[in-house]
Amino acid sequence: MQIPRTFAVLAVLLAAVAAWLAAATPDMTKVQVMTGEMAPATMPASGRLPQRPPAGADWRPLDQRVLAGWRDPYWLRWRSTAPAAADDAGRALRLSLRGASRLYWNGQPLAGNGLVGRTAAQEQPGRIDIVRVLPPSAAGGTDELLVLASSLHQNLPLHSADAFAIVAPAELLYRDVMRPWLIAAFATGALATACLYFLAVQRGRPRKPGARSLLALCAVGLALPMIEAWRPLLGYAYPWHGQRLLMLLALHTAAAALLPAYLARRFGVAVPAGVRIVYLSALVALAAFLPGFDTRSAAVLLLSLLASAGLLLRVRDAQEERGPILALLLAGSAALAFAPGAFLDGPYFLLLAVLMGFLLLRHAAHLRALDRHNASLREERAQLSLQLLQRGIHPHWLMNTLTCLQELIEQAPPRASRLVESLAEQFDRLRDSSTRQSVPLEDELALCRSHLDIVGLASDQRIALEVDADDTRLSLPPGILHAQIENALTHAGAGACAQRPFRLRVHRLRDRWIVELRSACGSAPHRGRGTGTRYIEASLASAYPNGWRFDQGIDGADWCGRIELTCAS
Amino acid sequence: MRILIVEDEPLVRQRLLRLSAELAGTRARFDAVADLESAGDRLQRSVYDGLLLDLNLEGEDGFELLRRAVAGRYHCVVVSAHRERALQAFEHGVLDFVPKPFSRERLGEALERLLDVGRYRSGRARYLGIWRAQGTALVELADVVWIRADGDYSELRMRDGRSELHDKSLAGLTSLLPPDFVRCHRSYLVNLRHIRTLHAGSGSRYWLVLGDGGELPVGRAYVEGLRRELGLE
Repeated sequence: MQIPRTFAVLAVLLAAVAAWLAAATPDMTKVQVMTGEMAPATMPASGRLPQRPPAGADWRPLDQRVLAGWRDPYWLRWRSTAPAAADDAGRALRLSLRGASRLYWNGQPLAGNGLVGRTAAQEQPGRIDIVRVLPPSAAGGTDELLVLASSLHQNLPLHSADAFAIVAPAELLYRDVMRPWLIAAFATGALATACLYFLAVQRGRPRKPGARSLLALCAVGLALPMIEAWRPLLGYAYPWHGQRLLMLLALHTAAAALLPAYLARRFGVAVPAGVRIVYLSALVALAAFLPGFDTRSAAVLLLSLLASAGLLLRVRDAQEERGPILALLLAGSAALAFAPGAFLDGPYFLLLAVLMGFLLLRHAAHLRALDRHNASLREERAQLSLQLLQRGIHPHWLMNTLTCLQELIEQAPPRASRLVESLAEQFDRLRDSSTRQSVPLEDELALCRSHLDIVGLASDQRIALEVDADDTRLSLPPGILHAQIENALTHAGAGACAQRPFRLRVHRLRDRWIVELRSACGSAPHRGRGTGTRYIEASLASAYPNGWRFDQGIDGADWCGRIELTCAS
Repeated sequence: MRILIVEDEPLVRQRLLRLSAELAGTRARFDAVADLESAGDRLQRSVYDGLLLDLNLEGEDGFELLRRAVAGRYHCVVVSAHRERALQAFEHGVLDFVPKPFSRERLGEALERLLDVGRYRSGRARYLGIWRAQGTALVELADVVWIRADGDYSELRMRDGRSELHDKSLAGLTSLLPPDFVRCHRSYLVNLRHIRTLHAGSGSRYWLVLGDGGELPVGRAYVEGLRRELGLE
């Protein structure tokens, strides 16, 4: 089953990424990327800001790293490399710049973005991305965008200014930018639904290992696309850009820490404390010291995906989950290694959504399976309790005993009185035992002895139970020795059992308890396949799933029942 | 009359012996054994007229015992705690079923039935046990066409033409058989289900024509009763 499931998750991921790429890749034939230059602006101490750069301005090619450090007013100039087409109606400009700006398109002023200022107090921060519809250009001429800008509210030093200007049809810049985010919104919705479903099935029950990590990871998975989509969908004033990048890095780092932590808990992989510390230190170091937020995020996530894949390789069971998760992690690692920028801009949270959705649904499926298992155990337990009571007050045995009691009342009242007491004790013990899943060995032996006492009184012969137990701490499902004794009495008869006493031996052999009960053999050919045996086997299976064994049969002159139980410790 | 008690529980055996002796007085003698092997020995060595039988004897299947018991010439009363199997016991041809624990009165009733077997007709048997060399076989009474007295035994004629010999006399069987079996002759019991017609001949002679085409004589003394049973009056 795990192979189709692996293919299914990969197919879902590939479909989501393909849809994203199809929606996010613009028609580059319609997009004109302009070449930029930059120059510091010389400002008069007061008065109006200049509308044109001075003739001797220190123009140099746009260097994003240098521009990232500029705060005071500066000039930017973008020029198109090709002449404007004759039909350039409906063109628009998209300018991304972390600053307040005044714009001039071929000498004509465009609507500004914030207020450029000489000081931080004077500056009103502009939005990081703006789109302006452009006036028609002169046919055959090249276009020039002149920008006076200031970035005095840029408090967080960034590796690159990421300033650019493109010209494209207005509909491309206004409408098409939204399309990829529909895919992201769909993925986020699916993840939120999976998360709510998980919370619903998780409610009111003990938490499974890793449930908290999974929910935290889910919260990260939901927050990531919101923070990512903040810029293209809502936009913000440029000082928020650094805060947003910090938030994204924090979310990536949190996801990088939570994913392997969840997988380790979920699959029960022991990770030494030293390894955990080294891993977290590495994450912090990568997030703090690598240049550029994208590089940091990519490195942190790559490390996380590889560490998670490494963890999963150590898992030996749970193939049906291990395969799909491993496939997703390796697909993510490969994408991150070859195209970190493209991966971080969208496919990453699609991967996270698919992975989280799968984990949540599997986790919920586990909880449901656990529910079913617990319900069947409860039902089995109830049936076993009922069986124990039914066996204890088996009508045939009870009626025979009552007939004996009748005779004793008429012939030997003191023995009749003892028989009534033993019967009362037997029923009291049975009632008590039937409410418990296991009873101490002493209690089970007391139940057996009271039963033998009754049979002894009825048959007027003492039936002994010899016990050789080097350790009596053992607990057993109630009634399993009683059932064996009852079987022996039924099949071999009280007379034979009186001549050959029951002998119980309980000892521990390495990691196992051995409980061996020997009794008179009897001659009934069908012994060992009746309701007593079924009761013993069902009780052991319920109390020690996969950790029991029950054999019985003739051994020399004895009938021998041997129970093996795997010790918990 | 001699009656054998087969009961493995000593106290119950003691109770059966004590109460039976009190209830039957001089009309019967009782012996008691604890297991089937001893019972077999006794039954071979002595002639018993009745059996008080426990169904569960130290793990042996009660109904195997029952088949063997009801195949004998003696009548069987079951004294058992297996109340749920009473109907089955009657179907196998026991005279009575006394559930444990039993009162003196209930045991007395069963003993009366055993001691005066001719007066009682339980009529609930569905099978009869037949001794065979390899064990006891069960014969379904619905398949028996008629039963003929054969000394101390009875010959059973089956629908398929086979004949079986039963250890009980015709009188002994009468107390067990269901109302379908009626006396049509001093030596014959006929199963009403298999009668096709009743014919009257000259000289007040009557005979029955059966489903398989065979004929059976009808004694004069039984004609009226037979007519009644066949709804010919």
